[in-house]
Amino acid sequence: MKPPAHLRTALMVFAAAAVVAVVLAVAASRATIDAERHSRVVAAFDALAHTETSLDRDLLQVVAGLLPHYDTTVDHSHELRRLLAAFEAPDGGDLPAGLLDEYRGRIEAKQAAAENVKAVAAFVRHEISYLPFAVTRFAAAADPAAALRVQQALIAIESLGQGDGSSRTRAEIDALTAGFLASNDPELRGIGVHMRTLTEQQAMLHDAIRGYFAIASRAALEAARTRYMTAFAQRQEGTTWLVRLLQWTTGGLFAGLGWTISRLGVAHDAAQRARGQLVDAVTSLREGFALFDDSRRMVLSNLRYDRLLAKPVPAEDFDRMLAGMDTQGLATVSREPDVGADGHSALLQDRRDQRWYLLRTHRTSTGGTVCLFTDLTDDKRTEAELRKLTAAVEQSPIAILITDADAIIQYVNPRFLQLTGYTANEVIGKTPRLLKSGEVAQETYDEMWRTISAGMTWRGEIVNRKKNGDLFWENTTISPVRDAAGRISHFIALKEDVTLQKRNLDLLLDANADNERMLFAASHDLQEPVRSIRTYCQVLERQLPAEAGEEARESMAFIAEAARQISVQISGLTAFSRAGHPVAAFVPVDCRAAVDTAIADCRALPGGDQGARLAIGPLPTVLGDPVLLVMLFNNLVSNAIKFRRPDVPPEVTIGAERDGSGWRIDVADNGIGIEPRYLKGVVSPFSRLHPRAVYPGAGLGLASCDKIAKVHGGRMWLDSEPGAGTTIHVWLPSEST
Amino acid sequence: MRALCVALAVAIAATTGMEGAAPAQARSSLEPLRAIVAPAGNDARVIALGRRLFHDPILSRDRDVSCASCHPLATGGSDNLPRSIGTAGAKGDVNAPTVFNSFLNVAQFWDGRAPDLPTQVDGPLTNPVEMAADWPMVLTRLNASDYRQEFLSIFGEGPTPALVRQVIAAFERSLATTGSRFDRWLGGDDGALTEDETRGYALFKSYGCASCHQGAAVGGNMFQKFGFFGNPFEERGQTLAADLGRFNVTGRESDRYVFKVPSLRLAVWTPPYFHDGSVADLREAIAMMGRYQLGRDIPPAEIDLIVAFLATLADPQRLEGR
Repeated sequence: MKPPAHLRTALMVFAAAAVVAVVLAVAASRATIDAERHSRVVAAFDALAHTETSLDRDLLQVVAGLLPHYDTTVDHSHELRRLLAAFEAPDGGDLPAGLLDEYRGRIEAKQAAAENVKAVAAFVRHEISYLPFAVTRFAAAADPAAALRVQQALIAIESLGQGDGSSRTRAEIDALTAGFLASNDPELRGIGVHMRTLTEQQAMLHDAIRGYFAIASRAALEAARTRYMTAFAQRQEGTTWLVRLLQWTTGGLFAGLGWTISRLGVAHDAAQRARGQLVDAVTSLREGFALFDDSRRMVLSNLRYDRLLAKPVPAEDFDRMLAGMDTQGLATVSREPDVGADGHSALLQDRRDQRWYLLRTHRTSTGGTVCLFTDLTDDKRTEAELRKLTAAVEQSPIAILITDADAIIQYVNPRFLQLTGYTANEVIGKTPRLLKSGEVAQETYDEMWRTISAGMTWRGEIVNRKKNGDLFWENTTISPVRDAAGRISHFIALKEDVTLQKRNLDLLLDANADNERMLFAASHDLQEPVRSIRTYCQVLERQLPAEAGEEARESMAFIAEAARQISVQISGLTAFSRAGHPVAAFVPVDCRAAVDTAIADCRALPGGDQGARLAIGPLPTVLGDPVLLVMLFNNLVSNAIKFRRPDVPPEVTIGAERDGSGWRIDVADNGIGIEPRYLKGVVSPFSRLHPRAVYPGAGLGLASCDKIAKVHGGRMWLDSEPGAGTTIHVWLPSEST
Repeated sequence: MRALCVALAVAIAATTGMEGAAPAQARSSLEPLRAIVAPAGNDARVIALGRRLFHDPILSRDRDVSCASCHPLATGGSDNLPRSIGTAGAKGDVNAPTVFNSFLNVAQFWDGRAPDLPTQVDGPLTNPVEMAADWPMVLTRLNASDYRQEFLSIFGEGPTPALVRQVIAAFERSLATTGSRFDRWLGGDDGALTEDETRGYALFKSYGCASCHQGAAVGGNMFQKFGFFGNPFEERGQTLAADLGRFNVTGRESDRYVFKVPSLRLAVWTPPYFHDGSVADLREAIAMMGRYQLGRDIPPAEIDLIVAFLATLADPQRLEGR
């Protein structure tokens, strides 16, 4: 992977800076070495001068007789030799070799001269120490004149060369010495020899020391030193400039490096931010995500991945990856088809929580691998739900049809196909107009479209045509389906085949009408012969002779009674059959008036009064049939009075209360009451709880009331307490509805 | 004038036998003789290596002589022969001087042709009558032996002529005869010398011997002409090349018969005497010195005293090799 451009720049700048820094360091260290060498050379020059001075001083002391031994001169000589040898070191390139050789030569000459001085001085020293000794010994033995002469000569020799004017000349001393040498006295002759030696040696010492100091070694040393210092200063200046140049270069390069590094820092920050964003994005993924670089090391992963795999599975061969995941609880359920050469996928199930995951891997452009876990558990669940729903729809006994917003059929269920006789291919893509029978008014369709386009559900029954041309009735419910944006995307039509029901209902209505007609006819047609029987029974009774037996009269009474009973029965039947048939359109009926009429009718009947007390509360006006309502109240009041307790005078209370959207009218008595178990059955026609002899009637009273209540859209029910009384409730819709 | 006064005072004191009150502690710095101080600063390993080389005949052509052959330490650093026997029995030209205290010499060899000890090494090594070797040969031998490892371990490099010189010189520098009775006397120990010995020292000075034989080595620090009052070589009847002394080195006429003044520290133990080893008796040598160098005849009794003094200059029991 190539490093980014600014990084390469930084590296190059750094390399250049490093090189220059190294050169600078070398130059500086060379300068340091130079400086050290220079100080050594200067110290050597100084030491040479110093040592030479010491040697000079020693020799002056030697000449003056102040130095009793020569060890120090030897030390100085050795030191001079050592110092000069140091100048011959191989790194002495900038030393002025010629001048140093000149100096070396002079030093050697000087040392030779010094040895000469030392040797001569030794003799002088010896003679100076011996002569007084010899002279003293001679003087002690010789005559005073000779002794004096010798002593004077000694003093003269000693003071020779002092230059004080009083001293004798060398010639005078030589003359004196010659006198001693010519003496017969061997001792005096010996003194003469030594005196002459001393004077000669003194002169030689004088010359030797002059010769020593005549050697201009110091000048040579100074010349060499000056030459060296000049050369060094020049070189130093050159080095200084070089170092300064290098320093500037280094400074510049490091400044550049700093600038580059700061740019790098900015770039690094940007990269960090980008990475942070990437990490955030990856973290917020619903999928488990992991990225591996080209050497299969994990670069980043999100929490979901880490939860799935506590130990990252390196992105290597896909099968080995799967094996690695298997050891961590992710069982491979199936290998999914590969996507290209570098994309693999597999369906896994977590053994720990039974959740499903789709694992996909992709090769990235940089050779890395992306690993994605998609949680399919919810999808699987949804799929199962959907399958259930689909099954329900598919197996539904109701035909289902789904269209898009443009009424193009997209789906029909098998029931639909069974109902219409079409195949799926024949209806998918068409519109439901395919089923149109032509027997439904266009207004119905218009209304249907208005309703469902407005987003509401339409219900209705329409006649459609099957493929084979048969017509069928369907009870249709059409509901719009809205998408997430609230727009209608589909319509679902549920169609129930009601052809059979419709036919049955028609038959039932016909049968009912026949019944009614039969009943009406029977009640009218039967009334006539019964009335004739009763009439002729009265005639017979009157015509029956008085002497006719009691037996005959009794039979006559039975016949009359039976006929009367038949008449009552027929009247009840007539009333019952009429109860189901309003005679005219409903009109507002004042219940109070109806009740009053009913009470009047009751009282008119034989035994109808019985001293009953009636309490009538305020009663509403309802919409209804005035005749049927009077019949209703008549039945209720007469029942209330009829089923009285023998020992208690009957009391009837009639009241009304607002109840929901209508009125509840209560008719309560204090009669015998009804056992709870009979409360339901008591309203059925012809039901009676008591023998006709005790409580006469056709057994159709309450049945008629119930029917009347139903005809008015209401209902009727009973409350009762045996031995305490019964309350009959009739609920009727109020007038306004 | 001052020099004269001092000289007079010394002479008078010597003559009258009154040596003057010697200082209780160290003697005056005006004494011509000084105590020997061992030179400092030498690596013991280098010295040990030098000692080994000094005694090893590996340096001679025929592997038959070492430095110690002519300079046996046990006998005072010299072989007590008039002229030493070199490799293959060759005879040298001059008497072998002692190696003890040689570091104090102003130069090496009788004629001073080597300015210092390292330079001196080349002399006997290459002298055909001494070791008759040469550097390439010596280095080949040293490199083939375990010397190479020793040089490597000490110097980090194998033997070179410079290193061999340095090593041998370092050993020789360690040969300092410190702690003699005389040195103790110089240090203030009056009881270190007997009366005769003290008198011998006084005579040594007053006869003028100490004019040349002075310093720590009692000589060795200067050159001097042999035969001042008369020429011993002419009197002997023949003059050899070696007799020309320093003239052979400098070619200067004034250096004819000039020799390095020998150290007298071990004179008593290293006969025979003079550059040619021509005098076997120390008394005779002292008498000759008095005659030719001082122009005087020293009475035998005084020579005895001087010999007694000279015997205090070194302690043979303390010599290395004993």
